[in-house]
Parts: sequence; C-alpha cells; structure tokens
Amino acid sequence: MATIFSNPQSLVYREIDNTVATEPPGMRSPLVVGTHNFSTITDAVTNVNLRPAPIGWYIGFTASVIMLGVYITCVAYLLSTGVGVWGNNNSVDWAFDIINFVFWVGIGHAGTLISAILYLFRQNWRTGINRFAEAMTIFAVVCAGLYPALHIGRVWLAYWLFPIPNQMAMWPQTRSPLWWDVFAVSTYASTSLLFWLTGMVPDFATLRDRATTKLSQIGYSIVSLGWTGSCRHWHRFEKAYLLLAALCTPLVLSVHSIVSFDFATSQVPGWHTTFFPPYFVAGAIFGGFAMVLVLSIPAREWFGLKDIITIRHIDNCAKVMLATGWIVAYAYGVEVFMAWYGGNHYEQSEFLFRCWNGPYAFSFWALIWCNVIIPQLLWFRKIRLNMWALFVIANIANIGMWWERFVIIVQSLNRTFLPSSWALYWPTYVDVAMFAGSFGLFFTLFLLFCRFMPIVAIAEVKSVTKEAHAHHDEPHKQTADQARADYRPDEHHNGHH
Amino acid sequence: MNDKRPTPKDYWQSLSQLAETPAMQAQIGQEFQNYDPGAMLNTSRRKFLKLAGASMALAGITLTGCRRWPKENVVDQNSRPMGRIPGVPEQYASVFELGGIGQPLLVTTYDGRPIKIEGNPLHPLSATFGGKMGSSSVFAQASILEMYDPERSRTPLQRASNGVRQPVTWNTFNAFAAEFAASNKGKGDGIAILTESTLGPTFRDSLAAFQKAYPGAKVYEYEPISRDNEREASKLAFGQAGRWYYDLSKANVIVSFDADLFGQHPNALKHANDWAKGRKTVDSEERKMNRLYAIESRFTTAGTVCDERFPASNRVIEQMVLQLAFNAGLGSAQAGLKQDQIDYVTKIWADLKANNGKAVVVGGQHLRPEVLAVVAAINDKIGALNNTLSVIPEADRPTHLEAIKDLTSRLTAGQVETLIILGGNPVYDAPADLGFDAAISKAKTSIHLSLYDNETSYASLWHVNRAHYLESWGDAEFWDGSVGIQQPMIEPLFGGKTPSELLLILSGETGANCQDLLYRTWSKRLNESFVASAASFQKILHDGFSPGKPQTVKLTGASQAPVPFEGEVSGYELRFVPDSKTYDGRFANNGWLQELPELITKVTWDNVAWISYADAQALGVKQRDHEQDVLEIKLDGKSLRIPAFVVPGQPKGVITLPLGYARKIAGSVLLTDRFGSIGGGSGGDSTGPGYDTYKLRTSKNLWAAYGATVTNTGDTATVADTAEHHIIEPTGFEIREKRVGEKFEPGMIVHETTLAKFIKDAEAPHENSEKLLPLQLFPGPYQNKPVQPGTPDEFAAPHAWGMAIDMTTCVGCNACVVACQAENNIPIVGRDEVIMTRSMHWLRIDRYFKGPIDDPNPEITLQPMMCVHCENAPCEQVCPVAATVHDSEGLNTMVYNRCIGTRYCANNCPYKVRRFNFLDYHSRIPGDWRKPWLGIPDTQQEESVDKIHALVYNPDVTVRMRGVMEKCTYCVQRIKAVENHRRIEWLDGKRAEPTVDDFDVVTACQQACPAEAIVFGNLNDKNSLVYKQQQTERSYQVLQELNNRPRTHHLAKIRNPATTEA
Repeated sequence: MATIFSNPQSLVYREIDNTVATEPPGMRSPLVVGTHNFSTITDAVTNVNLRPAPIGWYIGFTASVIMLGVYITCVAYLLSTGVGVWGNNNSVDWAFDIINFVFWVGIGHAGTLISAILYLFRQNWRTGINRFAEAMTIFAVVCAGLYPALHIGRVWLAYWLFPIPNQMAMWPQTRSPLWWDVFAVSTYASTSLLFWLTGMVPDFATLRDRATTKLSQIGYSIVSLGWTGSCRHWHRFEKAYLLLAALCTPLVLSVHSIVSFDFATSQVPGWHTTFFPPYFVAGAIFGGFAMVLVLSIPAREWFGLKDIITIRHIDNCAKVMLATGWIVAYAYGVEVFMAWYGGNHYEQSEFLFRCWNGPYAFSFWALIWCNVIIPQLLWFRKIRLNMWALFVIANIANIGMWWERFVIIVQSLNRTFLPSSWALYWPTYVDVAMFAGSFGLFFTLFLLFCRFMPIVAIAEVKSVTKEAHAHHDEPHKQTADQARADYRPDEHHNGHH
Repeated sequence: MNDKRPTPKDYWQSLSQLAETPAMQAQIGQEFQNYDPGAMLNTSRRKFLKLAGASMALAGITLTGCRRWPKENVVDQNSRPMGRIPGVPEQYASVFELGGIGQPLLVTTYDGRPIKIEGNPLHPLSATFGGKMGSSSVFAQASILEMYDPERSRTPLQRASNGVRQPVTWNTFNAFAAEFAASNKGKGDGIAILTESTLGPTFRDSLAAFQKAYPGAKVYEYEPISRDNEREASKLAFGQAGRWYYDLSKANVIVSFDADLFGQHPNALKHANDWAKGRKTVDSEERKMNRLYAIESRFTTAGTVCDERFPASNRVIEQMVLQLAFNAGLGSAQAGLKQDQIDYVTKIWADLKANNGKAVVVGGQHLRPEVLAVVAAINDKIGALNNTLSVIPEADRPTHLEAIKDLTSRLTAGQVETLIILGGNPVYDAPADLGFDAAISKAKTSIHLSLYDNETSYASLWHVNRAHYLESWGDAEFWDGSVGIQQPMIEPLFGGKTPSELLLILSGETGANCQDLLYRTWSKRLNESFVASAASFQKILHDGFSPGKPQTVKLTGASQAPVPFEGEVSGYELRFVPDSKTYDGRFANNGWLQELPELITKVTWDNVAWISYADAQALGVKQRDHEQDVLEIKLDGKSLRIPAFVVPGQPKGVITLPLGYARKIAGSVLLTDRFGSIGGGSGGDSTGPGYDTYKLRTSKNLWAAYGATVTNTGDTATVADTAEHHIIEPTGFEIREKRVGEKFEPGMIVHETTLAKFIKDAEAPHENSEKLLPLQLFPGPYQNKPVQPGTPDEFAAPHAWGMAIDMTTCVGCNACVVACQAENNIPIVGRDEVIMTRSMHWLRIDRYFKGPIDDPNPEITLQPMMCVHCENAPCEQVCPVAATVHDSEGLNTMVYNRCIGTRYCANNCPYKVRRFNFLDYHSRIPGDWRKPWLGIPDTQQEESVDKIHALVYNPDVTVRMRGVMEKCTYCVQRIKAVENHRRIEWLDGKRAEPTVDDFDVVTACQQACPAEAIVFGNLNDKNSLVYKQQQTERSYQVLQELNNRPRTHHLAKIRNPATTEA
C-alpha cells in the first residue's frame, strides 16, 4: 500500500508517538509532529492538490465512478418501474431505503461534531481532521438525503413535502415526523455545507496563490471569495466561523434525534421508545468516528499527512468510539430491560424475536459483536496505535451500525401486532446494488474533494504549531526540544496568527 | 397546392350549415327521395303485375308484411332508451350456472357495461337480512372478470388438413354447419353430443330439437365435479332421482360427514344463511345456539366453523356413518373403528336423538351412493325427512362417469363420426384411465364450444367461441327447484354463441337466436295465453326467476343397501376435492380467483398436497416460507410430483389433492413465475400454476383413492401462500398462542369462548385482552354525536359510519374478498408478488389455527380484517402530506391523488391493512412483472391497460397508479351515492331527515356475505343493526389497548361444543 500510495513529498516516514499517554507530566505533546514550519505545512497539504495525483487515486476514483454508475442505473430503474424493484413489502414497508438513510445520516454526524462541538470546547486536536470529517458529513448527507427522496412511491411529487404555496392550497401535515425530517436533514445539510465552505476560504486562497494552471487559478479565485488575508478578513472569518459553529452544534443533536422520531413516535413495537433520541445520537457519533477513521487512516498514508493527522488524532478518535460505543451498548441493554420491565406483551415478544429466535436474530447478534464486543479491543493502547487493527475495527463498527438500523427497522416491522401479517423481507439485487452504489457516490465525491480541495485546514493547523506559538516566547532562547516541551497549544493559540 | 384542392363550398362546419345548402333543401323538400314517379308510369303492365304478385307472395308466405315483430336487442348507448340516465347504474337479475345449478344474481351495469355481480335479494336462496340484499359466491363474483378477459376466444378456429389451426369467420363455420346439416338431417347415427351439466329448460328444449332433427344423435353429460353420488343415493333410498335440500334453519343439531356445507356445496349460500340464523340467537335473552358437528377428511368450511370437529379418513368416515346407523338401530356395529371414533359417534347420536325433528345429518356429495343412502336412513330415524331434509326431484340419466366411459369406448371403437362438445374440457379433466384425449382424435369431426381455446379445443377439429353467460339469454335451475332467467347485460364482446344457438346452427337453422329459443320455451312453460304469458314473463325477467318450484318429493322413509368394503387397505388415502378457486380448472385464467388465498392453506396460484403434521414428520417434510418439499405420490403405476403443505387438523394418512390446476393451454394468467420455471422450483409436474392432480384421478376412484405410496423427493417448489408458517418455531408459537388464544380460549386479539362459559360470564370472551385505556385527555374532534341538521357544529355529521364483523358466523367463503376486489378495482399482483407479500386485497380473512402444533384436531378461528377506520388513526398522524385524513362522518379516508407513497402509514398501522402499489399492477401483464419499462408514470395506465380489461373497472372508484397507498374505504363511493340521493330528497321536502336509512348503504363485503357476518351502518342511528350489534356483549375492538378506537368492532366467536366437553 505504502509503495503505491505514498506521496514522495512526505516529509516524515517515521511515526512519532504524540498521544496523550506519552506526555510528560504538565506537558503537552505537539499536535503537529516533525520539523514543520508554516511553509512546510502549506506544502504538505497543497501538494496533494497541486502535484499529480498518485496512481492510487486514479484507481480508487475509477472504481468509485463505476459504482456511481451502478447507483445511477439503479435509480433510473427504480424511478421508471416503481418501488417494487426493491424487496419491500406490505408488512415491511421500509427496509434498505430507510436503513441506508439512517446509516448515512449517522455517518454524517461525526463531521459536524468534530468541527463545531470540539471547536466550541477548544479541543484543538480537531484541526488535523476536521476538514476531512466535514467533507465526510456533507457527502454522507448527500447519500442519506437521496434515499428518502427516492424511496417514495411517486418521486415526481416529492416537492409536496416542502411548504411551498400551491394551487391545491395544501400544506404538509405538520404532525408527521417525516416532515420534521425534511427540515432536520435539509437544515443540517445546508448549515454543514456553509460551515465547511466558510472554513475553507483561507485555504482556497492559499491554493489560488500556489496554483500553476490558469484553470485552477480561476477556480480557486472564485471560491476563495477575494480573500487577502487582511486582519479585517481574519476578524470577520473568525466571527463567522464561531457563529456557524454555534449554529451547527444543536443541529448535531437535533438531526438524529428527529430521525429517531420517525420510529419513536410510531406505535410499532420495537420503535415506540422514548429512549431513541440520545441512543441514536450516540450511535451516530460512534459510527461517524468509525467512518472518520476509515477515511483518515488510508488518507494520511496516501497523501503523506502523517505529521498533521498524527497518531494522537487517531488515538483520540478511537477513544471517542470506545466511549460512545459504551453508550450504545448501554442503550441496547436498556431497550431489552425496558421491554421486560415495561410488561407490554408486544414489546416483549418483539425482543424475544429480536434476540432469541426470530428470523433475523442473527442480525441482532451481528450488531452486538460489531458494536459492543469487538470495539472493546480499543481499550488496548497497542490496538489503538496499530493502524491496520484500527482500520478493521472501525469498518466492523460501521457494519455493526448498519445492522443496528436493520434490526430496528426490518425486525420490528416483520413481526407486528397481528400474527397474520408476519412476513419476511429479503432484499432484491437492486437493493444491494443501490446500497453498494451509494458508496460509489460517496467515494466519488470524497476523492474529488481529496483532489481539488484542501483536505486539511491549513490555517487552523498552523495555529497549533510551534511556530504559531513561538513569537510569544521570543525572549527565550531554547533548543528545539525545549520548545517542544514548553509548547502548550491548548492554552495559547486562539486568536493569534 | 394543386387543382384537386376542394373548393370552399365543399366545406361545411356544421350540420345546420350543410342543411342550408340549396341542394340539400331541395332534397329535404321531397317526401320520397330518389323516387321517380315517371318510372312507375313507364312500367309496362306486365312488369307491374310481376312486381305486385311477388310482393303479395312474399308478404303472404313469410307473414313479414303483415306482422311487425318487436325487435329486441341489447341496446347500445348511442340511442338512449327512454328513462335511462347516463352514468346511473342499473341492475338486472340474471343467473350464474355452475355444475348444472344456478345461482340467482343481480348484475349492476353502468351504461350498458356490467361491472358488479351481487346476489338476487328476491330469491330465497341468496337473500340476506330478510331480503334486503343478496349474497353470492366467489365464482359468481369473479365471473365478471372472466367476461372481460381479453384472452377469451374471439373467433371460431379450424384445424386445416395440414394440422395448422387458424381463425376463421362465423360464415365459414355456418357454411360447414349447413353442409353438416344437409348430409346428416334425419340420420345422425354417428353424432354424439357431450355437454356440461345443465338443467336449463331452454337448453333441454334445444337438445330435444336437435335430437329430433338427428334422431340417431346420442347425448352425453359429463362434469368432473359431479353430484351423481347424491342422485344415485336418492334412487337407492327413496326410489327417486333427485337432489337433497337441507334446511339448516330448522336444525338445532347438524352433523356433517365431510360435506363442504358453506363452501363447495351448490347451495352453500343458503346453508350459511340458515346456519348463521341459528348462531345469532346467542345474543338473545335465551343465549341459545345450534350445534354443528363436522367429521371430515380435511378442513372444510364446515369444520372450520363447527362446534366439534373430528378428523378422519374417508374410509373411516364411511364406517362412522354406518356406526351412526347402528346407533340408530340400522345395520351392525363397525368392527374396524377405534374406541374414540365409536365414542364420538355415540355422543353424536345422543345429541341427534335429543333433538329429534330438529336435527339433520349431511353427507358429502362425494360419499359413495350406498353410504349416502345410509345417511338418508339415519335422517329418517331422527325425523328429518320432509322437515330438515327434502328431495328436489330430477329426471334420471346415466351418471357422468358412465356417460364419459360410454362415449370414450364408442369413440375408441370408431362409432362416433361427429363429436359436438358443448363447454367443458374433457381432454383435461376426464378420468385419467379412460384415455379420452386419445379417443377424441378418432372422431372424424369434432367441434368444441368453449369460452377459451383450451386443451379440448386444441384436440378438436373446430373450436367455436362461446358467449359468456352475461352476454346471453338462457335459464337455469336453482337448488330449490325454481328456475331462473339469464339475461344478457351486453352484446357478446367477441360474437360468441350459446350452446343452444350452436345446436340450432348445426341443425341448419341460422336465423334464430337464444332469445327466441328462450321465448319459445317459456311461452310453453307458462302455459298461458299469449298476452298473459308476456306479462308474467316480464315479471319473471324482472325478478330473475319463476316463482313456482317443483313439489318436493313426499318421503316415506328411506331404505338402504349394504355398503361394500374391500377390506383393509394400507398406504396413504388420497382425497380429490374441487378447488375452492379454480373449481374443476375452468377458472384457471381468472386472476381474481387465482390470487384468492385458499381459506385453510392461504395458498394462491397453486394447488398443494395437504398433509398432516404427523405424516410430514414421518416423511421428513420441512416447512419453510414459500418453499415446500415436493412429494412423489404413486398410485396404480401413475405418479405425481406435488409440493407438500402441512395442514394442522388433516387426518393422519390422508392427502388432500385439489383438482383444477396445471392447465396446459390457457391464458397468460398461467405464466406468472419470475423464477423462470412455471409452477415454481425444481420439483413438481406442472405446466401452469399448480400441479395436475387429474393425473391420479381414475374412473375407479373419482373422489378417494386408497393405497397410494408417498415419498419425499427432497426437491423443493415455491408456493405463494399469504400466511407464514411460523407455527413450528417455539417462540413464535408461544407468542401466537398468547395473541390468538389457546384452543377454544380467548386470546389478546381473537376473542372467543364456549357457549357454556359465555352464559356464565358475558365477559368470558374478553378476559385475556387488555382493557381499553382512555388515555386521551380531551375528546377528539371527530367524535360524532347525533345532531339536528343545521347546527353549527361542523364536525358533527348526521352519520357516524361503523361496522360489526361477527366472527361467530363467518364461514370463510371468501365471497367478501372477491366482492371487495370487484367493487374497488383492486388489482391482481401475480404469483411472484404474492411471494413477496405484496398481495393487494383490502379485505383478508385471517385464519388462525389454535392448539399445539402436533394437535391432531386443532381449532380454526377466522377473523376478517380490513381497515377498521380508527377514530384516533395512527396512519393519519404520520403522513407528511395529509393524504390520509379523517372525514366528518368518521371515515379514515385515503386521498389517492395526494399520496406520494412514503409508506409510513402502513408501517404504523397495527392491523397491517394498508396496501401499497409497489408496481403498476393494473397495467402489468402477469408474468411480465417489470412492465412497463420507461413508461411515463402519469400516462402509463392510459397506454398500458388492456382496453377490454379496463371495462371491468367500477367507474366510481379511482384506478390507482403505482406509488400510491390504498386500503378499505368502507365503499365510500356507495355511501356518497346514497347520501347524496337522500340529501336531495330531504331538500325536496320528501324526507324528514337527510340521514340514510339502515341498509340504505351496503358495503360490497356485506352485500356478498351469505352468513350476514358483516354489518355496516350508521352508529348515530340507535335503531340500526350495526349499532345494536356493537352494543352486544360480544362486541370488542381489536387491539383496543392502543387507543386507536376503531369504528369496526369484531363480535367474539362463541362455539357450542357438546356439554360433556364444555
């Protein structure tokens, strides 16, 4: 892998352990390792965009576009023929469509969480991965948002979901959680997009200044919105960024809470649970961080960004996964407990089927293994520092999160109140191909992002480097090691450039 | 452009403009156009005399000049008959004939287009609710689809000398007929007619006329599903051929020996109605009910709803009949019976004796004549004769089996030169050992009259297309002996002929039609003066039947013959039964029937071998979803591969084989499998849906065969059933048991109890369910109160619609399901879509087995389920576009053109009664499930629905497109039609209130139900039947603990087992 994908411009080939555990008492490990100064950081990031892409990018991009083609073909078939091309039926009316919607929305969570909440909480380690995570959010929300739009029976009338004044004098039905969904997801998508693009403006300007071809110069000029780097620009930028972060923060909690209302407000046993909103949010963060790992582990390798997306970032992500994984595990336990404790026959039987010998009991155990048992390996530091192991565990967690949605949706629907309506659901090849194709869409967008946009927030990363910190300590003469030891990025950098 | 351009004066924009042209004015001015007076003046005297003489001669000879026969035709709508308002439906009485027995009908037509079939409320056999409406069978209901089947044969077909079959015109056939008549008139020794069973007097007259023209012609009558055993038994017992009329309304105790009383019996509608009358008294002060015992070799409708069921093989059942006779003091005790069988018979006898004069024993029509004669003798002993059992006499004739045997041997011997087959499909359904399919080719000329080009048509020289009964005049006899008139609702769509007409054509008469034939017969029958007979005929035509019925035979005791047994037999017993959907195979191309879930197995599109749980265990047959092990059944050197289907309650050692599947030549409904192989899966002998059970049916064992060997082949075949087999997984079973209850016990959703318990405690049926939890803080806005018209409360409407479904009287005949499908334009989805759980029926009959999985005698409870119109509807709250909303009269309405198809409503519906159009089912050709490809959605139906098939749609109901949710509407179109009518009357001052009367509005399902198990009406009307029924102690709301507050209440099932067991 490394031989094909390593960027020859990479400055460091040896991993430096800068995790929190290695910090001497009272000290902080640097967030950017290696002998970086402002210009090498700029070089490291912009080289990804300005140098020819590694062959791995082309391979990956080709594969993604092929899968995107599969997706588009499936959508064309779906729209021309009807929802019947899927396996959904009159007992299980939602299946892959909504599973994949919730799955992708969940993935979209970590990005905004990292960008907004960690920003507000001054977690500066976020700077290495936030751009990535935000991009992931946007693209995941694109994949997610398409599902509910495409899953309805008469797609050409999807605009009826929006409160548009019309000749029918009809308004959407405001008691429906699906309508809340429309707002939750579209607000989340638009705000996240704005946040992401705003944060990129200084970096676009950097790319504009460094671009060598006419076309890229024009392109980057347009998106950098005339950025000059003046103090006034920086001032406005910082304020806007802070406000958007504040705006995004509640959305992180609201969007998945509202998605969970689709289920929680219904009376289907297995769905009808007040516990769903926090459970869904925790699950989304768990799955979202897993996806950040899935994306950043190869990316830092291929694009030579190990100095900037350091082991510490990876380690922190793994720890967040471990913590949110426990919240999710607790939620699974509470669901089962409440089914028993609540004394409702329908709820109890639902969980007997779910955990014991219903037709899809295997999926429940799949999710327990993927989301509860295997992530416990993350307790071990050695595993957290082993990129291969981490990559595998993160993937397993993502698979587990998909199964979680399968369990909630298909298992609950296939055995409802009247035994006469119990029915099985099996996906058709269109279901499977469209799900695989949605990854094509995601990775196509993501690889385009990697190629043409600054994949690390250059300006923000610079703010946590030694150099940014250095002018504070001008009177002192220090060795490089002392400077590194003295450096307290979390205490000082804000507002200093 | 060029010189040929018409001059402006050639154009005319309107008729008046044209009429003003001088030429036209001149023409109009002439009284006799094109009449040249000079021509007459110039005529020579000779020519004048010639013309005058010829005119007189023509007028005199044919009488046409002197008399004007009224020309009576089915009138096309271009010239509107007086009094007809376009768009207002009209109803005409008619008759549907099946197996020689008619069913009284009332057919609704829209602008000359029949769209719905209902029972005739005037006739006692179909009248329900005291003659307020009429019930009808599934076959009658579904026959409307058959009429509009675009695949019905459209022209005669002739097999040319080179063997190629080609469509020809009627003229060609008429020419052939004339030639045939010319060469055979007065002779006809080589002519044989094979007809379906029919007792219609007009057809009988035509047949007689034909035989008069061709004295040598022989007539044979054959149907694979025949009532001959009963008529032979009648001869044995009473010395009179006839059919047995059971009056169940007078019976407190009914014992059914394997009779499908409410299903396949030709008089099933009346049976169900009479039986239900004796059940409904459970709500009265006395709390009494009749009792039904069913001893049967498979679950029939009788066993499904009976109070005490005893599963036994056919052979044991015959012995139990004899044992019962022994108890009654006839014959001797049966040695071969087991103690429990003897005890059961003793118990029955005690009950019968205690109810002497108010009891009846019914024998299945497949039982051997000798056994049925014993049944008659038992009935004699319990005072049933001329009371609960009477005999409707029939003319004697050879049995169907004898007839087909005789015909086949004559064919084989080359004695039949011309074979005329009127209807039927003997090549497909004659007993397998006779070799009729080979014999038919021995006839030099064979003519087959049939609705479809089928197997027999293919084997014949000529196929002649038949007119559907809704297109033709005719008559038929009802079970009670009265005779009904069949009148056409529409001109024959494809120009077919009736059997009578064909006989006439073959006699060389081309002019007459079936209407004339009918008039001839009836003027003779009425035996009145011409004027009087015309008047009474009009009355008969209006009522649909002639009121006089033949006197029943006065029975003076029944004699019985000894019943021969061949001794012990080993191996499996096979029972051949008519299919509840395709009957004998004739309805194979009827999608409504094919897709109807069979009552017990819930299998659609297929027949399967019913097998007991014990036999399945022994054979290692596994139960899976939609995939069944294929059995190989061997009998007398013949073998059949057919999937096994475990049916709880099937007697051990008995395999039930429904007839009527695996048709080889039929329409595209047969091609329904997206898995490639028709009939599904690797195993099984199948060419269409289902398996050819006729292969094993020989003249020796028409109904039951003994000594078959059965092996499990290990292959599997797909079976499209609508209910799953979760009964064998322990958790699923326990959960089901809690919800539907233990045997004879109430469950959470199925409320039932025994009569004894119900008398002690009226709450007994409801004891295991959650109680209603009124969680609502505020009353909902839709709670209707009776209001005076004109009050400002806009939510309070004069009507609050509601329904009551009586689980005690529902016999599971499926008529409501088809009626709903016909009324509401519900599409069929095809076999593969049923497998995907996408069947579209708005109304389904939930069938629950109760009792442990290995219980040899479980109970069945039926729970008809459709949208219950919750006042607090979970579907309404979750729809994002307000496509399902409540109306002020309590209907949970579905606005199709507002629906975008999120399917959230269906997920949130606890009753799972919402149905989604996953594909464009209306336009789809079955077997081509992905059509249409890239059609533009909004115009698909316009372009892709077959133009003839589209005629069957009810114009009052939207034909839904794909992507739209649908469900039961309480037949809102019927409600609104009546409501508007009453409102107008009220506005005109003709009514005191704008409200409708009870039974003014009738849903399609209520209309079809023979057992009066479904009642619909206005809950605001305290005198309405539905209100009264909802007030009974049996009434409950399914899943009431969810606080959905359904408008449809179910009435708990009460069974009345003998007190010794209660």
